[in-house]
Amino acid sequence: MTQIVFVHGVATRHGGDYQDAVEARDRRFLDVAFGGTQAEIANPYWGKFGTDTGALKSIPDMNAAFVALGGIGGSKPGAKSATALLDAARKDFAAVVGALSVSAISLAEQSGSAEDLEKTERLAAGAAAFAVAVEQPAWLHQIADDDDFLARLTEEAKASQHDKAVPLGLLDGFQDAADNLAGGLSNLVNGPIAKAGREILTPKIAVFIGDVFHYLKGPASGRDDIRKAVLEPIIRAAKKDEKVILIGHSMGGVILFDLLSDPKTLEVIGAKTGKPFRADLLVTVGSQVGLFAEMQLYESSKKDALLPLAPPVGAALWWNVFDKMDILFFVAEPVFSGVSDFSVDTTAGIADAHGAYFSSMMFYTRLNRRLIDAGLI
Amino acid sequence: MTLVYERPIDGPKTHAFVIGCGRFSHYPNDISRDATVAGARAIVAFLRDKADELVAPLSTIELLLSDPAVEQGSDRLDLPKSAFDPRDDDKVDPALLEHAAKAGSTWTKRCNPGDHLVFYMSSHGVVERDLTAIGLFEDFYSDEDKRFAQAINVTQLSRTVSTKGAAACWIFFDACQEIVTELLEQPDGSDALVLLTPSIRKLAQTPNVCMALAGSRFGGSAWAPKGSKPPFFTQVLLDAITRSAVALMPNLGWVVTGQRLLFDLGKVADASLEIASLETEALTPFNRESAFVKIAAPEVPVVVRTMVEAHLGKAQEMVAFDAMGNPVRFKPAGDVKWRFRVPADGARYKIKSKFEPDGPTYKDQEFDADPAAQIIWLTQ
Repeated sequence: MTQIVFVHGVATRHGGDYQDAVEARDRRFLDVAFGGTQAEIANPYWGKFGTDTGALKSIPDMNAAFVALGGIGGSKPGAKSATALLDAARKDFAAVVGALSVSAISLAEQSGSAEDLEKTERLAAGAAAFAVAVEQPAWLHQIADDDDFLARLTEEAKASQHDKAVPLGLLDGFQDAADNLAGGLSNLVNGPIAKAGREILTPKIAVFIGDVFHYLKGPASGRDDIRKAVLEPIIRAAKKDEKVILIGHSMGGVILFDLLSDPKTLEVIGAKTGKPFRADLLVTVGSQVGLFAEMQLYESSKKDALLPLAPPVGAALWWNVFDKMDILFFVAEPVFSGVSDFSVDTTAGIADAHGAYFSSMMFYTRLNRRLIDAGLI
Repeated sequence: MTLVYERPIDGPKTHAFVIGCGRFSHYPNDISRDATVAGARAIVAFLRDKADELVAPLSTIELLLSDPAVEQGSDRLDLPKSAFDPRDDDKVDPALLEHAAKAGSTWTKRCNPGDHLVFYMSSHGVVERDLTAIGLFEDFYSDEDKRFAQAINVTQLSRTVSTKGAAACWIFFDACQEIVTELLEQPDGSDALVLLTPSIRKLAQTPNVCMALAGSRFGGSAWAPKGSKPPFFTQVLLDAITRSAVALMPNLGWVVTGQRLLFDLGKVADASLEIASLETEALTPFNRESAFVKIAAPEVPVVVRTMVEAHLGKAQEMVAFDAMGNPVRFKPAGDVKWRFRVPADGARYKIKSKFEPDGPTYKDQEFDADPAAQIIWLTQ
């Protein structure tokens, strides 16, 4: 049995579809990343100690008084290119599969049907498994348009299914996903940043900054509460004398790094469990650990320390996962020794990429491959 | 200019001019490329290794290198010393316009009737408004009034070099053919180096014996791996001229031919090196049966795929049998790719596959070991 503790990122609040999102993410981790091995996931919630986003008046309401000047070539082109997907896939097949899986899963989630969602996840997992096995399919250069591409990809996804117990049925999930992607694909084809939408990004960045400063301002700001909320499930996992894998998204990665690099925190865990603590693996996803380390914002930060810095003593292994389209990620390899950066690129729109990791079957599939290679499952 | 190989030969001989430019001292951004220099070194190594297998034995190599790993003035060939290397040390002149003009002139003037001329360049590349391909030298952008003049017009060279009376000319251009607005806006174009300016009458009287191939299409990009390996087009070219792009010719045996290079390089890229996206472009019309280099025992690269590619890894068994029914090649279980080579003897092979009882079924497929490459798609 493996004990997994997942620490969420900024701007995560109870309510809405929070619980559904947690359940879906847990299922994908267990089925795909951990490949059906025995594992248990704890999801500590620290969002209640973050910034009260409703109180922020400085976030512009883009739906009210502001309109874009222009709109001739907006981020969602009216005329759909017949080869947009194919063109993008020829440049980066895995990224397109990642983007399709994010889009297909998002649509399935919106449909509210658990059965549709599960089928879509299986389809996307099959496509991701194929994209990991075959980096650049030869047929990409023998087909004419996106319809051919989607048909071939669906065939490959079906053939790559590990579990044949659930039939895939009529799968038009990728077709809808492709239609939904029209704008996002242009980020890859026309170059990043070009289509970024401030109306989407600004609130997200504001909340991100709010949560970060809320945490970093010190104990009185709620930092202790956040650390405590995260620490409790880690201690419970450590007591079980099994493999412990800690996964942190965005700010969650920052919190985990802060805890695992702080000797006092490790002493606390050691005292509670009766033995020294060291997680078998730390996975930071779309995180800013490297940036804040360079800015010396952690408990353990030392002035004038030379790069590369030491990795956190509380983790035996550390992987830092990113999507190049995610404007809120920062690499860690140039800042730390003993960390591996790896990318799970999608062609998701720049505004979506930061939250898209856990809807991308490329993420879970690549993580699965690495866990196997590292002997962790 | 830098002469790195000089061997007296009686009769037809080959003269080569090789340029690898990866350092660009005047352009404001860092656009350095290690791979271009690696490509030039690999071509020099090939020419020296195959000096006597070339249809016209190798006589001279002029080389210019701008290696981003060193400062100007410190460029070196960095290959084992050849017995025919006339230099005292390993230094090579940088790929500057001035050196290219001198070396290029010397190279073309060496040509006697019946000789072969070889030109290879790897660098950044752009295109003119008249669709000609331009290779950039280290000092491009050094003159604010003529920013693209420190370059060579490779298309024009391809169209005119036959007038020197060679039996065959081989031009390989591994660079982008990028459309750059700044260049297109210049009324007189780049004013890039033109090595030969023959008269129209001379051109009309001379059959085109030049096979000129670029590693990118007009307006497209050539690609290279990061690090010290040659660019992809050069990798494929070397594979093809070393092993597979051959035809059987009277009196010569197996030889690499211009036609094979023109039409089959993409297949070699796919079957041999897993580069499915190589896009080459001929820079001048060519329809000759010219031969470049002899290959004693050529091989045919073969790639086998299932129509649904994901099925390949699920095959319990996949075997290539020879015409006698002997199993000669086996796909390792679980591998999602299957590539192998067979002697280029035209022999017939049969691929048989076996899957789980509830898995897919694929028909047996035959192929002949004909050059330059075999791409086998198994169908259900």
